Amino acid sequence: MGKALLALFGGRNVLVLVLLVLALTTGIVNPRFLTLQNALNIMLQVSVLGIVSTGATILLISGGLDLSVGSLLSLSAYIAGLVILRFQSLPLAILLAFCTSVGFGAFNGLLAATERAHPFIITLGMMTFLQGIAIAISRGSPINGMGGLYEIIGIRDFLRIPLPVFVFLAVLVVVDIFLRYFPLGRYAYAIGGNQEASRLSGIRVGRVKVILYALNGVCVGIAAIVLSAILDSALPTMGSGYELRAVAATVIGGTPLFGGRGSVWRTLLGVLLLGLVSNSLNLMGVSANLQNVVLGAIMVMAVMFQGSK
Amino acid sequence: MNLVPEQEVLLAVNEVSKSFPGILALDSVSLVLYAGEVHALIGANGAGKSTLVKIIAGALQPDRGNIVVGRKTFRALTPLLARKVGIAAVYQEQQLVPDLTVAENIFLGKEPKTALGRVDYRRMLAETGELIQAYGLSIQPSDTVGELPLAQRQEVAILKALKEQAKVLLLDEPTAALTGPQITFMFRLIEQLRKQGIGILYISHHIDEILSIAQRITVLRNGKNVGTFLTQDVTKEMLIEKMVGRRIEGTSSFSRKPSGDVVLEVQHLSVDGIENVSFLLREREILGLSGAAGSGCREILRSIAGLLPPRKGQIKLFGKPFHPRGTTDAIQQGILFMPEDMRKEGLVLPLPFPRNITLAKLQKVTSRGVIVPAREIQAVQPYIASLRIVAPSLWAETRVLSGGNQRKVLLAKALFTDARIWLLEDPTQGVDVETRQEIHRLLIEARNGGRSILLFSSDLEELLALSDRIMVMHKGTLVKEVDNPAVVTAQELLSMTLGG
Repeated sequence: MGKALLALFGGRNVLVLVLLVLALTTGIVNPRFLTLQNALNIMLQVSVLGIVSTGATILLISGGLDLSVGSLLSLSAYIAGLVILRFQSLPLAILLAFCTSVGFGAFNGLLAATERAHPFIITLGMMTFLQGIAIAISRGSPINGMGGLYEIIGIRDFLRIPLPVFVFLAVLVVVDIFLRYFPLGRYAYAIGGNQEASRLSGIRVGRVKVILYALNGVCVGIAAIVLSAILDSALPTMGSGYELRAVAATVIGGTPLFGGRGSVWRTLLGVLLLGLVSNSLNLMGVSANLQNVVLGAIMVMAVMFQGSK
Repeated sequence: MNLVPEQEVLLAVNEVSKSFPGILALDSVSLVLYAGEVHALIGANGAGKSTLVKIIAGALQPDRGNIVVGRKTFRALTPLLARKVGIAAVYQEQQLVPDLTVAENIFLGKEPKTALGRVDYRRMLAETGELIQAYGLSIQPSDTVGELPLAQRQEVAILKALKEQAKVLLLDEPTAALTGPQITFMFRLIEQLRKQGIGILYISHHIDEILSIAQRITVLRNGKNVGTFLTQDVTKEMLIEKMVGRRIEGTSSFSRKPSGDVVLEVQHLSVDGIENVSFLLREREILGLSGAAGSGCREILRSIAGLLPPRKGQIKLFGKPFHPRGTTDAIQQGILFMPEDMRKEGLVLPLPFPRNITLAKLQKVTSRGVIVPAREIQAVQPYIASLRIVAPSLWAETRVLSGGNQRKVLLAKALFTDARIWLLEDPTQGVDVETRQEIHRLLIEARNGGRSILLFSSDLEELLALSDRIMVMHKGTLVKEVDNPAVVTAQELLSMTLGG
């Protein structure tokens, strides 16, 4: 069983070990850490990052990257907030949020498929562009009180497990199935592993890229709705920073930056590690000013110990 | 004039051996380069020329043997060390920085400084100008290297080597990209350098060229030095015989008279690199393509595979016009291209190897658009068994397989994909003798099973053994057709290929 679990996580024993040691230490220092309530807390805290990271995993496997997801999250959430404010229609709000996130996701894919520049630099530009739009239409002011379904996602729980956690797990499972059992998922690995060989195998590389970036957009849309539900508000900058943390969580989990390998379960480990660390630091009473130092150091160590080939 | 200069030995390679997984690339090769000689290095593809040159340039380290430069003996060189002791490999064009000017490239890392410590551009340009003039070249010191044609970039590389006081120049096919007058000019430059006492190791396929420029010629065959000759003692025919060797006993030809229907018809095809080429490919036929680098063989395969759009002419598939807009179209029509450089273009190395076999036709293992893993494993197993692919497990990444097994994966992919027309480029490049024979048997079986194979190989023995007909290409045109390869020797084929 343990072996099967390890195999599932791609033999990331070091990371599993780090997680266990971290959990035990914190548990000894502060017994509150090892309660079910705290575990659920951590899951809730990482759910949005987890959803964004799952999308990032698809792209990293295919040798792509989207740095605009943070800005796109903000913009989608803000557009949904505006619609609710003006028209009081939740379905319309969610629809428009997805149109935004999937539309710009696919647009990024289209730009990446031209092969004129590395997606890093393309989406870096898009990051600024989309952030700019979000700030311009909001004029900097947040929207509070989203109401309706947002309340349900944000507050309700099932079997004491908060709904955002369910959403995160559902996204994980769906993307895992996609990557394992769908030709497009297989093509993601193939393109990330060797784009030229994929082309020679008859795969329409450009088309597949657009679809994968659009799927990443779907994840961003879900994350946007979940995050504004949790906060019960929409801010024009609420997503900033997610792009880098998502890449960090994915790579820490063991999906290499250069594509061809990886899985969402590894990403789950990476996300949990980040969540556990900040939770432990909180419970151990480490000052907020120092937390980033520790968090950064652990991220670097985790990646070094992976020894990604 | 053509006597061996009885001068100092610049470079001596002593009993150098080098092996790669599965092949012995160099087997105890020795070679001496004198000051003031052009020493040609010839041999068929895979004879070990480039391995030897890389060892001398420090890009590869030998397993055994040593290299003596001047009075110093080295177990192995590194690129930096090689340059320090005066060895310059001009074929490594990447040593030039395309965005910098000719002068900046020549002085790179050794820029003259003014009294204030700033780069003295005026002096740099002046000295470069003198150098250019001394050799009668037509480039300007202020030209940007990246904007120069290949011929002149090569000249810059040579000047840079001279500036660095190189004593030994390694030239790998320096005339490959040059036209008539440029070649004459390059030869004049080489002769001038030789007279200055520089030793030049000159690698080329063009025997006529070699006979006119080299003083001595070393022939490599299957990783061995089969002889170093004075140019005046040899003829073209003798050299070709040395390159090919005697025909190996027991390699019989599988060729036979093709009689199937025409599946592919190429009419007056012109693309970049080939001019007005027409031919037919029949069912159950292996059509061999023979030609040296730049002959256009590779372009023919690539344009049929949908990678190079034709400029003129057309391709007919099963009697109907075929305009592939990409490899997707070609594969749908049953045409699969298997490139020589399989690691770069052929295989997805991080994927488990069974997934490379199924990649081009995943539909065969899906049900309602979803991959059924059990079906996939079941579907690849017969191919793994019949091709005897050896791998640690079915989950093994393609990367960890040996070169020979990777080749077999590529062929298994062709079989799995149900491709009717196979476009093959050097299918046994870099594999051991046993695997080579297995692959040959497989290709014959595929032909007998109804496939049509367009086979480009730089291994002439292979072409002669497998092909039912052979087309010989030279500089982009079809120069000869061999209808009965069984009666042709490798020697004869080589001289056709060399445009004799």
